[in-house]
Amino acid sequence: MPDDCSIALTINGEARTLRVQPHDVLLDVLRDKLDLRGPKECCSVGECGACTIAVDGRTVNACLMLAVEAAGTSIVTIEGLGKRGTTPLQEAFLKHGAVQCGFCIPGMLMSAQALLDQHPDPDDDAIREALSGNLCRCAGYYRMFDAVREVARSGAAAGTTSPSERADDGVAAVGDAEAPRHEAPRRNRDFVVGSSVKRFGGLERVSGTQAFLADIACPTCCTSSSSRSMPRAPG
Amino acid sequence: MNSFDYLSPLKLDDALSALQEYGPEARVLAGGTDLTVALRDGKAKPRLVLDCKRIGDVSSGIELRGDHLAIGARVRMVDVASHPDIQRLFPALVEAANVVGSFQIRNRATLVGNACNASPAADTVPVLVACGARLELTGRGGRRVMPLVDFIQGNRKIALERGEMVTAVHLPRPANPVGAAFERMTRRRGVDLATVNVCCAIDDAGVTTFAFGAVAPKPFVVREPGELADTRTTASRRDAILDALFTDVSPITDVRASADYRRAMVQVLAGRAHGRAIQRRTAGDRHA
Repeated sequence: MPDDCSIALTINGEARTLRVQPHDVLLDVLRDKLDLRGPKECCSVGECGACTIAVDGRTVNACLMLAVEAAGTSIVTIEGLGKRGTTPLQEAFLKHGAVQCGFCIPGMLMSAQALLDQHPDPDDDAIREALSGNLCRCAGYYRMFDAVREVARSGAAAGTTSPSERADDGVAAVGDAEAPRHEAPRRNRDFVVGSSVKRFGGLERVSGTQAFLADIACPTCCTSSSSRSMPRAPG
Repeated sequence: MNSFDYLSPLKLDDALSALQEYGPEARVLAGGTDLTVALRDGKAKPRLVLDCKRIGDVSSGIELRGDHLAIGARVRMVDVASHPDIQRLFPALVEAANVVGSFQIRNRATLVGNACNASPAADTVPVLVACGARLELTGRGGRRVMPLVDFIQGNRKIALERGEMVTAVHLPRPANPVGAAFERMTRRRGVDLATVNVCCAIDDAGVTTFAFGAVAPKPFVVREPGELADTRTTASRRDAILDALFTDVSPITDVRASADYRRAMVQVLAGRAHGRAIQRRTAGDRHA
């Protein structure tokens, strides 16, 4: 049996030392050992982008990296993106209704943020290209493109909005001052016809804290899986 | 995933000793974008995974060395696509490197790894082959250099001897920017494997080389001695030459396309790649 390896690395700004096995995949270590379940496991072959994280400032598929390869690196996951509140990009995703089921959003945000960090003023083709390694099963791509475009044009890619500053009336506090806003009626906050509302649970989905089935840890549960073979016609 | 030993040596000598010791039970890890998938699937069951990313004497750079451009085994696709010498001398390689996987993949995957993986659909391989790339293979006994087209022996089969690793790829340095272009056909535009891909490269002597991927177990290479490079050749004559050039191609039918479709696309992509290669060559001549 190969020996454990000790690796020192920085995760979301915090120095960590971990003991891992050579065959441990980085994504599994992040999710199962460090409880960072924002990066999702989906295709496990580097096609869907749900596990996208930044390693030394560059986005990678965490499912395609061994944990030992991360020794000495600095890793940022969705949990570290808006550590001190939500980022303009996260707010814009909420504002534009880019968040639907939310499964792809942690990876999508990591890719979009990397684009804005490297190219503060990307054109539409660059935005599409930057997100092409991330699949959205709800097919909400256009709203994501709109969100990225708005943040790029507002020049507000960096920085965060603290929870106390965040507008909670259905209108994101981010964006171009020139852009028209649909103010929610203030007198009756339940009355939302004609106004944009933030997706219920949206904040959890852009911050990576929304638990999907595989994210629910239940150490005392017994789990089982079944596999069936398809019947085949003879001959 | 099966367990294995992991080594991340700092010195090439240590890496080569380990590769000699483990022989075919060792696999070299660079970007890991193919190897990690194979490890998880159990298609690769090495006893040793040797990470080459920290080996100081394996280059992570791209440098002009005499008559060739040397690209080290640690150079990633993103570095290839953004390097000024490659952009200037080998724009077709930039085109190919930029369509490998996604941003996330290109941030990890290496050019040498793409060649060593020896997938018939690899995007950078046709460009490297058409431009005459040679691989630098290093073992404890010394270094040898082998044309990439000979190194790839078939689907995922490479001519690596026990104890050797590929330490660089060498591209012959052309007198003028190579008149070359890369084209590919995919089912969707981004993040897909090529149904057919091709590089057309016209060298300084006027020889036109077509190197195709995804139509045979190894790169399918065809050369034409001079008429295609001549800008006075008429369009109809050009089409007739292209029609006659690829009669030997015998692709397979798979999930991505039928053999017939692939055969038709060989012609279409060859025409497109040749058209752009000629344009680039003419533009290069004007600059010279």
